[in-house]
Amino acid sequence: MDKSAKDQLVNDIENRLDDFFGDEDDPEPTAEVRPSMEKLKSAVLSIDWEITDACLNDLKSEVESLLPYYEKEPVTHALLRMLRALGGYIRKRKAQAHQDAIKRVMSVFASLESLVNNPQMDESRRRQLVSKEIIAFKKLKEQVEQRRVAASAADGAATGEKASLDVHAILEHRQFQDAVNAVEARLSSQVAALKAELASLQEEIKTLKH
Amino acid sequence: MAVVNIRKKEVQIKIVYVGPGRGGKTTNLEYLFSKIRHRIESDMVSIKTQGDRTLFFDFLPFELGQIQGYQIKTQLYTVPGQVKYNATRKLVLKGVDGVVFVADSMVAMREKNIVALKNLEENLAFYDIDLYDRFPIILQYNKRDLAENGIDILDVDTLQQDLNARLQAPFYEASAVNGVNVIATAKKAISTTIVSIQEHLG
Repeated sequence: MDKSAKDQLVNDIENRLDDFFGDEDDPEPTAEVRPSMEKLKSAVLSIDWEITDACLNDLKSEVESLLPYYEKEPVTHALLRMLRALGGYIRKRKAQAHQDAIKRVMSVFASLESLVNNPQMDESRRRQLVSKEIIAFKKLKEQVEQRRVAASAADGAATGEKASLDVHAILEHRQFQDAVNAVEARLSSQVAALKAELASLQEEIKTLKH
Repeated sequence: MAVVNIRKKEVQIKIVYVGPGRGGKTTNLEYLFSKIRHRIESDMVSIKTQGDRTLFFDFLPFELGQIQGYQIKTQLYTVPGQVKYNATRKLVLKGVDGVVFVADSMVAMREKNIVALKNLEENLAFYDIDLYDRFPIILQYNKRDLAENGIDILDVDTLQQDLNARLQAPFYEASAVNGVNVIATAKKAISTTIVSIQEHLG
């Protein structure tokens, strides 16, 4: 059905309904309420002040509550997903998180806020904003990976040194080795998650460019 | 699916009010009936339990009149909201053309609203209807008046997030017991349903 036919049909239906039901007030449906960014902003600012489980949980839940509203806006959605990934990383590493991770959260939120508050912003400027964030995100990911490799090497060296001193002592401290392995596995999974997030964002950027 | 009789130029549409138990579905229909009873020939049929709750369904049929040469016959139903009456709900939803989801705004009912919407999705899927694929549905956030009596109610943002984030359907804040937005909800449901039927028929 073309638009004019549809408009005509809607008009006819409304006239009939008005006649049938009388002159009762016929308000428009409540205007679509976009969720406020204020709660997310408060969660982001809390993290800047103090990294606690409560703040990070707030960030996660606020981002997740906003995601469905922006499903059809890929640029905004990408930034929200980036925030979620960064929040997840900080949540796992807390004080050991990369020093730039919080800075990234702030920057991504600033871009997000700018996008949401300026619906008239032209598409090229929107893409530019998200591209800038993706490049910085990628850089952070590389740095996290480098740190992971360095940490693994340091652990290896420490283990080697200890081994040369007393192999039996290490064998007796199997729990320590298990803990090191667990930490390594966790780091690997975080890097893998960041890689996956990045790949997905890059894919989205490609789509946007086309 | 709507019954369309091309020869007689008649279209029969079925709209079902669903939602959690004691949410105000029957009150919606009773208010509508009180407003239109003087101009319709039919009566409203309600089958209730002793506790005044809907056991089977409420049924309010009426002829809306002609739209673009077609006589529109409308049937409004409610279903019992209580979880245990799912077989009845499923049965009443057979052949449904549009839905009004009556959510209860009370904080204590938050979970039940979500469960009821999920149940609607499952029951529609039984008839190969995808609730999230342009199915005509209107949301009504009922009992907004309770806030005036000091009862905790959910804010609209929360209701939207719980129930309408994916649907993105038109919604009304209402007080069925006072008739606030009851007719507006019904009008929107009828209009959305007729347009959807027309689009399906091509």
